[in-house]
Amino acid sequence: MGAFIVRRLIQAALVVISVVTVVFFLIRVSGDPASLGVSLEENRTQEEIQEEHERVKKQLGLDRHIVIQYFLFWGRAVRGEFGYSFRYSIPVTQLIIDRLPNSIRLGLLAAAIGVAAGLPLGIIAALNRGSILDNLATGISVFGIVVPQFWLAIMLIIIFSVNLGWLPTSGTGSWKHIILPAITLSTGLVATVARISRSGMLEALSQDYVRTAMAKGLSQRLVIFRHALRNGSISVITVVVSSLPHLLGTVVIVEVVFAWPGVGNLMAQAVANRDYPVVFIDVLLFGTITVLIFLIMDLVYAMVDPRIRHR
Amino acid sequence: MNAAVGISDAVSRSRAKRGKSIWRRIWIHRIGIVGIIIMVAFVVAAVFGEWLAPKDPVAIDLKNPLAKPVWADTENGVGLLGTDNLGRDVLSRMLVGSQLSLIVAFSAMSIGMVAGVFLGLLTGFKGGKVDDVIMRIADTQTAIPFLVLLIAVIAFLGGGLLNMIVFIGIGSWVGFARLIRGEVLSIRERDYVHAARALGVGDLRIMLRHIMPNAIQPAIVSASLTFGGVILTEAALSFLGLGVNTLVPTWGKMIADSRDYITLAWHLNFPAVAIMLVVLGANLLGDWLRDILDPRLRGRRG
Repeated sequence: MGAFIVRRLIQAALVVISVVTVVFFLIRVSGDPASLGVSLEENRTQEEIQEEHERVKKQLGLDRHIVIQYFLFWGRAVRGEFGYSFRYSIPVTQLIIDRLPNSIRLGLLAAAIGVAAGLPLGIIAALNRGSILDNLATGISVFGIVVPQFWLAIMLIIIFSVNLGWLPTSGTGSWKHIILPAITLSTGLVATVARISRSGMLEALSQDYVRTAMAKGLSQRLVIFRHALRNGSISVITVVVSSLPHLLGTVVIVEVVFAWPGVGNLMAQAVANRDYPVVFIDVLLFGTITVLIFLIMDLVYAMVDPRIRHR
Repeated sequence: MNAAVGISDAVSRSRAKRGKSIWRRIWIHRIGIVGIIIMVAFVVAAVFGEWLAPKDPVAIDLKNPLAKPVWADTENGVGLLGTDNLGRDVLSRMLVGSQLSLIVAFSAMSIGMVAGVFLGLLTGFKGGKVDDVIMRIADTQTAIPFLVLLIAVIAFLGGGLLNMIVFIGIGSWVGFARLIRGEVLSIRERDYVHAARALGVGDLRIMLRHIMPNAIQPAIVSASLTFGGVILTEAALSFLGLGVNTLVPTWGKMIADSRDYITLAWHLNFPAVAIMLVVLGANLLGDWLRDILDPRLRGRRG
């Protein structure tokens, strides 16, 4: 087990290092970040602009060789210094710390909704196979897959905020603000969880131990929850976790539509403003979160299932 | 990303094999047929959009902004699907706009598929260091949420049609590569592969002639699903303002542009309906392909 953990940790670290490296060089090939820090007021002469440009370059360390820059960057990164936002002039880490809780709250609620809605949907569909309920559940999960989330968000705002007036259109503040973004974010997950739990349930119901339990005269509810569901839950967890990168990507869109002050919205704004340090840390953050989650999932699996350790 | 739509029945399927009536066959393959019809309609709209468009898609008509579709306003219907906030014909814009969506989706999918299939063959067949390196790259890429990576890359390297196609294409190779690699790992130990090698057949030829035809099926299914995925991705990027900037916008951009007017004119939702239809078509097609290409799955689904 120890060797497995070490190997898996090294792997995860390598992935994070590669993400940083790729994004670092992407920024460098994309142009000269220093030119963004120079003010171009009309009454300044060419020399003055040139001078400031050099100064900013020096300040950002851009006058050194790119390989040296790369290692200097790591030196700062290890100390948690990722530079200042061009736009807000505060450390980008501070921006992330301010906004991350909002995104985590949104993501967790969406994941909870995804499971809380998708699981019963899938189970009901499986238990009533071929019925109207089954078709309805299938229809819902198909809708969740094909609908563009940004459009769904707009529709939800029109229905629940504009027409019915029940919920606020955007922003943050009360518990009401999080409902629509969370629902929008969860649609893809609801669809996936419903599909997986339906097929998992169907498979479990055909297993011998379930048939035995039924034959012993246990109530249907007990059999479903104690026997079938428990064995199917592993695949549901796998699906939820592995759809996480997709969910994290959708966060950007949902946060933009609802003006939710999270890291996704921050990223979209940073891209629009060419605020590269912010874009950089955001990508790094999304990458690290994904790597960590997969790492934890692998370790938990390895703990539960000894076969995985020895692969 | 695949829809659980395929409702197939092993019994009725095998009955149809014996060939009762053509209607029965059509009924059994209804899912695939609907998918094909949607996709063909989409391709026709995209290819012939400029000729099919009843009006100039960019002609502004400020006297008739937000005009209703022709059936909702029979007296002075302006356009078949109404007009947008600047009086431009929605149907014409959608027809012409679909071109870009098709180009992006098809090209990106093709890039991803070709690259993924090739790298998947290579890693699965060669194993060892090659496998390690390529799969670690795949891991790195999956570590960053696709849309986030896309947004970042477009922000750094710029958008534009070609960039968008290449970026989305590169973004979708991993799925193909993993699928193919899995197939290859089992195929490369088959007798006929050993036989080919014993006969002195070269690596490349074994990979392309002997392994690929047997490993390609899941990639074909996946291509269909990827197509739908790219349509959604492109729409999302357009919505965020990172899409391709053209005179006639893509469907995603149309939705973004009409956001403020949707409450006034419900017909501005047609681009969204079109997106959903195409993605649904791609998914149905993929499901159907999986069913007919892989006999093992017949009757197990649905």
